Amino acid sequence: MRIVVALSGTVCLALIGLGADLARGSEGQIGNGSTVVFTAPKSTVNLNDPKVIRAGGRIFAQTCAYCHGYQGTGGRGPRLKGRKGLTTDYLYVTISNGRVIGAQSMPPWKYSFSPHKIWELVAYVRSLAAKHNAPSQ
Amino acid sequence: MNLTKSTRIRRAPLAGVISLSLSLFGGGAVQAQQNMLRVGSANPDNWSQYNRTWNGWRYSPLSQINSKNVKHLHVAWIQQSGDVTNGLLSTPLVVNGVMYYVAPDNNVFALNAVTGAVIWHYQPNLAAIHAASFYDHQSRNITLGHGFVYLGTLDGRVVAISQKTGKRVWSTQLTDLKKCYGCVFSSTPMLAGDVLIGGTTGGDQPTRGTIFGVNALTGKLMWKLYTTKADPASWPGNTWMVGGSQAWNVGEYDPTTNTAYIGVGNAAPDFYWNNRQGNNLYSASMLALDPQTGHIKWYRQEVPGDHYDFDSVYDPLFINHDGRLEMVHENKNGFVWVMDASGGKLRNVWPVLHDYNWVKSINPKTGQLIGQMRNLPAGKKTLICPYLIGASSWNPGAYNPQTRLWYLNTMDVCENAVPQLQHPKDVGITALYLGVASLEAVHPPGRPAKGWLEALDPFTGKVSWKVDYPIPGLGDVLTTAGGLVINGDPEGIVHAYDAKTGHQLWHFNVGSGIRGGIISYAVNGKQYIAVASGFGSLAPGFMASAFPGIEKLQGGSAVVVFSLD
Ligand code: HEC
Repeated sequence: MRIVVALSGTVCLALIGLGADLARGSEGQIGNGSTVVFTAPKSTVNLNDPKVIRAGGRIFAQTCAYCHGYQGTGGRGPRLKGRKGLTTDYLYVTISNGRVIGAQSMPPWKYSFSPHKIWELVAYVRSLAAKHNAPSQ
Repeated sequence: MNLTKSTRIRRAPLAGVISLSLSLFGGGAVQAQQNMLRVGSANPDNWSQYNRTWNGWRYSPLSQINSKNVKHLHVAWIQQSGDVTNGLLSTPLVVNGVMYYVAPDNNVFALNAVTGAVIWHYQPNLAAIHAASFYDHQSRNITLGHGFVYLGTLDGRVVAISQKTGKRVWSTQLTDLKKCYGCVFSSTPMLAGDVLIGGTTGGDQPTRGTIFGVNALTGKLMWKLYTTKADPASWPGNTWMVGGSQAWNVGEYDPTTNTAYIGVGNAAPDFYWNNRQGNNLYSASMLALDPQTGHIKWYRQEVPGDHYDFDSVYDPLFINHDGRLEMVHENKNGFVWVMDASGGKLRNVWPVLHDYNWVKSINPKTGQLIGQMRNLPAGKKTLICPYLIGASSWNPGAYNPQTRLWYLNTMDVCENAVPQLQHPKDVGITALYLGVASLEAVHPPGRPAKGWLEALDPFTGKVSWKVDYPIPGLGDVLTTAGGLVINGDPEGIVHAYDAKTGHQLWHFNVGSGIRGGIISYAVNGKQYIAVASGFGSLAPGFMASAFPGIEKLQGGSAVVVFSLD
């Protein structure tokens, strides 16, 4: 699913009351009624192509570094540089769905980025993981 | 008094105060000078609004717990909110023995303030799209009034909940998160008489800043004020349509002059100014509004043409000084503007930090920025000090009328930014519109990044005392008539200091860092101190490259209450 930016700058003012009072809300963290990504689709990119990795790096610096640090060197989100055991499937699924563990949270990225862009991110995170001689798979 | 529209509009990026339509308040000047001590000392047992009183002091007039006996403080009760996601950012409120607070994910609680027993718990049924927001989970405050608890929600609504029953009475949808990315209410609107006034988050997204006025009794929308002016001289082309400038923090309402004060955030894209070169009104401005209409009585733009993410949204203080009522307002950029509260006339501008580089100085008489770092070249790394979290985070300090000192958490950190054009249409619903190719918090040149709590003269910045912290304090400060300053740090240690000297008198580990409010209240003649414990929010993630210790800090969300005996 991909939502297009409205450039009009107008704000919807429908005066509607949404939802009922719940003793405890049970909405999942995934949102917008669509399904959770359980497994990665077939990759649309060559994960080792430096061009793809660079493209992923650009998105990462803009969007992900705020929490994961410059080049994934840590932040409140986990350190991604030099990590072992991050499989491509795991990376694709986690980046798509986001994650909440304890007090830490990452929003889902599947509403912002196409599968192609998520693959570029996967390629970049794999390249970070591979640094310091830590193979990603 | 001035009933005409005066247009002392200065061209270009000069700081100027412009009086648009001053004055519904004939005797206002006299009233405005009412003794702030009376305001700050009113209703001592309660903490019924965000900063306790509208003058923003966070001062409790209670003195049963004081500098002599504070070492005997012990835990009276603890209430766990259950949901801990992104930590506890809010300030608990207490009225007549009942505590109300909002925990992560809009969980609102009413508690017995003596025992911590839950009276009711309410959570709105949030539209699923809230989870796609960059700012999900977090709430800064709730607002009390007219028998309601008001809650700004993570899906763009304002909800009125019955204080008695915890049941929803009305709910008004104000934004559409599908169109207005990140336009969640991380702060609940302030109550200005019968009007709720507030803005949303989303100022780092391609949005158009909007402040809403809502009838507090019925929930009906009364007015909207766009905080990006549709004026090509101010915002070239159509940049105002995506110029951010959201008023995302809690405002303050002066009932004596019927004025709602609310600050406006940074212009977007945050660091890329090349195609929006203009003063970008009303980004980075303090606004004084007429609550009934949303009309701007006066404003001061602190950073014309902001391209450093320097929001003007922090809570101002109101203090009598030389027979006048002054507003003391810290911008994220580490300068404090002292202005006449009734018209915004500038009295002084002083820096909290010794070192900064985005400007050489600011003329304290005119507010003019001198030696400003103008164009940040696209594709090149520029060091900017202070960084986007600010010289302080959004959490308010506290002012004590006995010492006449302002206690403020401060930090000295820079960032390396590489500005880059970003097309709004490429910015996804959850993503940021910072206009950067890269951004990283770093140590200032030649000195380590650090943080401290300091006691300041609010009008001049003269420092009385200072306590260093290994990781900067990110919580709200409390000061009391018992001669105390209470401040919590990111590691979860709550410190009590002598308000005059800064000497530490007591400390206690509440188990998770302080990111929200510390308050004091009394029930049946007994004084309590309540601490919002629970580290989190987005800021620590960005800070971690300068303060690696942050990585290991444990999150949480609990109200920890202390008393004597
Ligand atoms: C708002 C902060 C935030 C942002 C922005 C963010 N993340 Fe995360 N991310 C987190 C947190 C927190 C976790 C850890 C959750 C957990 O403990 O499992 C995480 C986990 C991850 C993981 C799993 C790592 C592991 O150890 O299992 C990956 C991969 C990841 N993020 C990639 C990204 C990418 C790619 C982006 C940008 C598109 C991004 N993140 C943006 C906060 C963030």
